[in-house]
Amino acid sequence: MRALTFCLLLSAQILGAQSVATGQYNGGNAFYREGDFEAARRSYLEAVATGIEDARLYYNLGNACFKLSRLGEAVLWYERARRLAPHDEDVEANLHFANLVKKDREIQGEEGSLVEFIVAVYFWPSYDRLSLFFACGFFAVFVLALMRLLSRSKFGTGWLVAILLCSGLSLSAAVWFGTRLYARSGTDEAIVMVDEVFARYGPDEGQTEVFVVHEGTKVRLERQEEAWVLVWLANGLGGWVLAESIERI
Amino acid sequence: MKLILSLVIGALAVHGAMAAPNIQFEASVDRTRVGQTDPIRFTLSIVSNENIGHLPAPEISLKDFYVEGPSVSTRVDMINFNTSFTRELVYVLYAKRTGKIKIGPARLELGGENYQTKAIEIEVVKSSNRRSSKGNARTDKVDEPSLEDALFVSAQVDYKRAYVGQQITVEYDLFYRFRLHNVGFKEIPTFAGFWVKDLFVAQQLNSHREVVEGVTFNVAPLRRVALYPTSAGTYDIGVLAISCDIPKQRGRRGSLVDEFFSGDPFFSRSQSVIVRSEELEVEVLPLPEKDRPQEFTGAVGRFQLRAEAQPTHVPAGDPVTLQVIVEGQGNLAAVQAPKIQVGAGVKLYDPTLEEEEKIVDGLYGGRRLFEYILIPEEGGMMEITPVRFVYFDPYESRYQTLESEPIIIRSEGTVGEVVVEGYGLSRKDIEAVGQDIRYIKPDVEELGMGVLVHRSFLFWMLQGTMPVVFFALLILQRHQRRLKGDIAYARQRRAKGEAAKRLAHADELLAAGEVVAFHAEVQSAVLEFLSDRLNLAAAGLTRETSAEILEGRGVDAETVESLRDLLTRCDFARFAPTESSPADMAEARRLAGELVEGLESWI
Repeated sequence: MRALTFCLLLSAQILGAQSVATGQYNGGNAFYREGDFEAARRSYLEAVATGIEDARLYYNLGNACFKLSRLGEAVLWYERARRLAPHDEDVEANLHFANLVKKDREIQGEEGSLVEFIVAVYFWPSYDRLSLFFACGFFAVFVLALMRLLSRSKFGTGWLVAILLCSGLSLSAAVWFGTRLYARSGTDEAIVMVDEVFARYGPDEGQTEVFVVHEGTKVRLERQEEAWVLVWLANGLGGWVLAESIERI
Repeated sequence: MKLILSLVIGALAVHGAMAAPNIQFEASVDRTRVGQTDPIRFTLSIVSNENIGHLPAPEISLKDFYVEGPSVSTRVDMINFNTSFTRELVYVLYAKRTGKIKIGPARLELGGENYQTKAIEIEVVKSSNRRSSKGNARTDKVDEPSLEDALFVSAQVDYKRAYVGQQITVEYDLFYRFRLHNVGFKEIPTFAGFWVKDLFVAQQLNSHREVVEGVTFNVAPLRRVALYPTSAGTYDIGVLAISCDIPKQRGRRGSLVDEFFSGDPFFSRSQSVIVRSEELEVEVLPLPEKDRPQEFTGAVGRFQLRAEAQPTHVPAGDPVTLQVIVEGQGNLAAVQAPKIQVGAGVKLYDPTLEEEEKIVDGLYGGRRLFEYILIPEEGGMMEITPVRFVYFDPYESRYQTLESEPIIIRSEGTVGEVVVEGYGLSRKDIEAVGQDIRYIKPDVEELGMGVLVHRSFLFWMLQGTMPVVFFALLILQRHQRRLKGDIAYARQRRAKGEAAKRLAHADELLAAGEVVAFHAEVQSAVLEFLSDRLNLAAAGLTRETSAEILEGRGVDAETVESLRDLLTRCDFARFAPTESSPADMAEARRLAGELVEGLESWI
């Protein structure tokens, strides 16, 4: 009974947050259309504060930030939108455009084209698609197993092939999904939010500078020591930057 | 002027002690009547029956001539065992004046003997005069010719009055009578007020001979320029200057030996001079306003027009290429694409341009090819009205209009929408004029939670339910099968349920006060439970056999004693019902319940 009450309360709270967030989102759109990007950004941020996660909200917030010349913030929200909607053309286009106008050129790793292709294929399906692949395969296996269990007739090679295929599909999707999650857990990324930040050889102001990165550049996080974070660039350069100068995606 | 050839003569020859050689000393010319600028070949020949060896310079007066040479040659002839040695000194002479001039006589002292040639009389006449560019700058100074007379740059224009846009050709030529060295441009003319096209610029002196006012010059073209006046007015044509090294002038004529070596910079001294052309002036007339057609775009010269279309029979929607070619002489840059008139239902794209420059007879020109793409969108006959091109002919001082033949194109069928890719767009690519981020996403009815599927509880619950359901069904199926096939298992599984039913019935009998029936039901419940659990026949179970079996199964003594006690109570109550109080019955019921519960864990 208590659990049910909790669930009902939670649901009510979620529905309320959704309603508030939707209002803020649409209000932000209205400000945006009027050209009041600052008000639009505030409205979108209030929608985000409700806990709602929606690619459209993040995308529009990125747009408002871009119009306000907050390049780092815009890239951050575009990246967050991309994580929720990996194949959204608008998100990809604006992220590409933002990368064109930022000071640092898009950093590319020095991988060969074949490796790049394999990596691209590996990261192509979204988590939702992989989940769907897995669920479909698993459901098919379930149905086939039930047929075998409940039916009095005998099943031949066809059934065996079908259940093996479905099991393979399901298992592959599960392995793909699992490795992706694992890879994701190991690659925490962030965006540089300040105009310019120097990366150093150690977590101290006195350490030698390794490189300088500018607003909007994406870095990979490794570990944090007090106020300093060890970040890596795609080209293999690594250094310590102040945690306050970056924002996790 | 007396020229003496100072040939290097060695010490006295051994021949001096020998018999005097037989020597003939003669002079000859190649002609006795020449133009003033024509060269005269004057030869002194010394023929001896012995090898003379070193020859002293003959003395000869050549004051009325410019002298080149002499070149010296030696020849040995053997005729009928007689050997003759011939030495020839050849001079090239240019007369300084006209009239009858005597050459010689020449004198030679050899081996103590004096030899003399006869004087030769030459008649020098005035040469024909083709070029007068120098005009008054050159005068006949026969006795003392100046440097300007022997070296100058001529500038000539073909038209001193021309229209705006008409080609004026300027020719710069170098005239010289010296051997020149290190010739280079010193001053390049600027042509303010003209559009300039270089026709020729000399990289080296390629001379030909030319007679100017009776004097032969070496003439080397320096530069040819086509000028196109851009506006009316009077303009100066710029000065071209060259620098070069010439033999240093001396106060008097040197010896023949000096002249002989004068062409060689190694032996002679030289001086650098700068030679400039004269300034010229041209008058540029404006193009007449009168009778100027509207289509005129500024082309001046002489042109031809040609227009042709390919193919002339096409399906609707297919492209037709229309080529308009304007070629001729004149400033091609002023030739603009003629306007093409096509009817409705025909798409016309901007033309592409190909240009080919050509210089013919010193006149700059060439051709411009304009290629238009037409796409008939509907079937039918389509006429391209005659293409018109207007230019101004400066030689006839009037505007000329050229007109092509009309072109008929036949198209078949119709097209809803003309595909422009591959035709028009390839000629003029669409260019992005600005770039910005894409617009925001539209308003929504409700924002989604955006929770990824794999993070949702429902997703994992469904995934978990499937194996649970499967295994539950599997177990159920196996249970059912065992119940059907294994009697002992089936009795064991239902023993407790059956016992519970009987005890529930017993409770009803207890409530009704049915002492006998109650005890019979309790006894039956316990014994049936035992027989089901142990898969024995209930009929064979008595108080004692039951106790023994239980003891044999290791059931604790207390439980076995409880069973005995209960069964004893039931026996008594069934046969002496009046002695059983409700409390006894309740006690019996409690014992029965405890036994069923307790025995389940033992058997």
